[in-house]
Amino acid sequence: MTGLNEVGFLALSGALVAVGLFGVLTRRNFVLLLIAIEIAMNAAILNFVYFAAFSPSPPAGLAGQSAAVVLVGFAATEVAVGLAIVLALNRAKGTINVAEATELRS
Amino acid sequence: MELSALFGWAFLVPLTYVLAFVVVGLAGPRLARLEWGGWVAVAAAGVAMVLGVLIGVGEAASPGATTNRQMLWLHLPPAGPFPGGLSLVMGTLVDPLSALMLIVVSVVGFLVMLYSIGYMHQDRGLARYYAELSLFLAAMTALVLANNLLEFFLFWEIVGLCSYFLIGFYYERPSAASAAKEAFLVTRVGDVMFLAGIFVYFQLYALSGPAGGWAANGFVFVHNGSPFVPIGTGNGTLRTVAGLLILGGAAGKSAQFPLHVWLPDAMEGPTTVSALIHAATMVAAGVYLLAVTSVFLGFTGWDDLLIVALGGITTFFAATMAVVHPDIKRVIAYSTISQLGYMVLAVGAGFTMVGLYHLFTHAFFKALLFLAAGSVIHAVGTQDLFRMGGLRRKMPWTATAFAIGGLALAGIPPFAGFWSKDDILGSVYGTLGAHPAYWPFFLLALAAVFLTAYYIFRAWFLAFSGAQPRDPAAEHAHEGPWTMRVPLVVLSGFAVVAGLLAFVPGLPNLLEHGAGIPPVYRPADLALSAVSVGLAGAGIALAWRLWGNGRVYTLDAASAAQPLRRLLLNRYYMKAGYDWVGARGVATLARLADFVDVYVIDGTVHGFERAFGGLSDRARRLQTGLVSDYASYVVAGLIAVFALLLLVAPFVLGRIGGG
Repeated sequence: MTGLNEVGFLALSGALVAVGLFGVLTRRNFVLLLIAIEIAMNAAILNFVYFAAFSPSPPAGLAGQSAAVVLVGFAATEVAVGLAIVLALNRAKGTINVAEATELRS
Repeated sequence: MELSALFGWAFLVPLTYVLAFVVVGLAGPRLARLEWGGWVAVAAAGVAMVLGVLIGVGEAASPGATTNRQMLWLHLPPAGPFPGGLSLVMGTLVDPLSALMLIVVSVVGFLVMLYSIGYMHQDRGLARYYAELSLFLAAMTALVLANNLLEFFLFWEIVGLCSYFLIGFYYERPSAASAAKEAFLVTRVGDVMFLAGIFVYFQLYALSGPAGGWAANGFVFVHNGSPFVPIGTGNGTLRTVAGLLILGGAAGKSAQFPLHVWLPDAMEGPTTVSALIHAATMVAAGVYLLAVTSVFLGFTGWDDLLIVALGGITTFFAATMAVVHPDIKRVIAYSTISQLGYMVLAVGAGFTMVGLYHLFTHAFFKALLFLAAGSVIHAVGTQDLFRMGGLRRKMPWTATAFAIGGLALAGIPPFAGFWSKDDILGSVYGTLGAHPAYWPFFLLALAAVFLTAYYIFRAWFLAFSGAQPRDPAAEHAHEGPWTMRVPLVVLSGFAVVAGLLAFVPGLPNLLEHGAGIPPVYRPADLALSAVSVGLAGAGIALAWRLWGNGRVYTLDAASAAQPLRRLLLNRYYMKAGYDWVGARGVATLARLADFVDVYVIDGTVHGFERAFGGLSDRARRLQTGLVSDYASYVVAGLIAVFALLLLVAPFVLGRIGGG
């Protein structure tokens, strides 16, 4: 892995987080919102992979790679829950626009 | 049985009245047959009168006997300068002073109660009336029998309360309601001074005197059967202050200048109340307080002069105000103030028992005058003297009774007032050599003799003389029922002989008290007596000249005397002045306080309220319910945390040198 710089990888992660946050803050469509969250989460998973690869000792590197695999599974379950909420919202309101779902305020 | 065996049971007298108060107060509204409880109150007053008179006679038969009976009310644990703790006791003290007062209160109380049956017959709220009157008599007899200053003060307040209730008996009438308030507030000025006086005496005598000091003794007036005279601490200024404060209390209760304004207005109450409370008993409590204080605690020189001055001034000024008044009850009310002034004068000059002698005779003839006036008012329905006239033929009993009362008041021998009033004048005259400063007040008191005779006979001639009533309403006037006539007859008897009683063997014992108290002065100075009787005769003659045979003397509108008349009718504008102080001065103060309250205190509170209200209103708007808004708050928070960690924390840590 020589010749490659950590900074470039971290910049990629940062960019992904920024894209995800932008999506979360600007999208009103619940599905797009979920996609944006997934993008941001992938940045975190990528970070595990980088640091495992750059780790000098094999046990720590293995730990990082296994964490990445587990997190991918977590991301999948999270999307499943998110989509369930989307369906429930659609059934209750006939729309998946999050700006319509403000009941928690009152 | 020896009558002295009763002395220890004196507490039964107030208890009898309390019983009547409870029974009438609770059951009275259902006792229509018994005049709404009136007869119950009369019976109780009768029992109490028998007991009171027996105690009085017993005391007269055993000269100087002092019977103290007390129980512990409250014991405060030892503290500070009182290693033995402080005791407060309740008790009865039967001695010549209290026995004399007990006779007055119980006898006049019974007669007024009986008279009320006839006089109040048509009134509503009779149960309330009799209950309150019984409570008053209970408190008054308890006050008279009190064996210590705190107990005295307690019952002093209760009689004031009853006076307030009874002045305001016709509370639907605004003038009665305001008169009741006035009486309560003005006497309250005196009461506060009295209480302060007790505090000063406490400070002075708490540790001195026998048995560990006056306070440790429970403020009781006697010790081992003789007057408990605390050892003076030598602090003359404090003693003077205490005496002045006590004098203030007495002036409030006894309507002395300048706290006299409430008594004429107290005539808004039923006439019976005026006779009992505002002539014979409660207003005399102030004089009794002065007497008790002078016997047991003693006044200093300055106090004496001030008391004499107060008495002299009050005697004269109250008499002048009575001269022009058209209201029969108020004429007698001013006369009461004036006569109380004589008593205060006597006490101040050192003749305590002479003052009480006048209190004794005055109680009877003044109650008589009030009840006779009440009889007239009952028959005619007005208190205005100028609407009466010619009542002598229609109401011979009342006319005679009023005349006897008037003669006694004017001081014509051998009626009661002559003996006691001349005693006062003679006694004070005897001190003029030693105290030249008493001269002006003696002369004022002497001049008041003339005025007294004039105003009371002006009232008599206006009401009773002449052929026909001036007002058709008085055409059908007639005497009241027997319940009203009997008290008149009995009191007339007293008004004739009460003064002579001082010459009956025994009674003088009631007028002598302990060592060092000057005994009764008998009118030895014939010349002085001649002068005072001459003045009284001249007053009566002038009254006859102006008002006799139903004549009505009207003052020219342009007469030079008109401004004087207006001044007197307006009571020297003193009430107006007090009202002004009350309405303007106090109201301005109240408005100022109101301003501070509304704008400063409430302003601060409301300011905080508005500020936080606005703030939370803003904060509320953050709560939109939009997911993306919450997400942006989270992001903003994150950025803030990072900013703190990366930018601020290193800077701060570098400054404080941490690491």
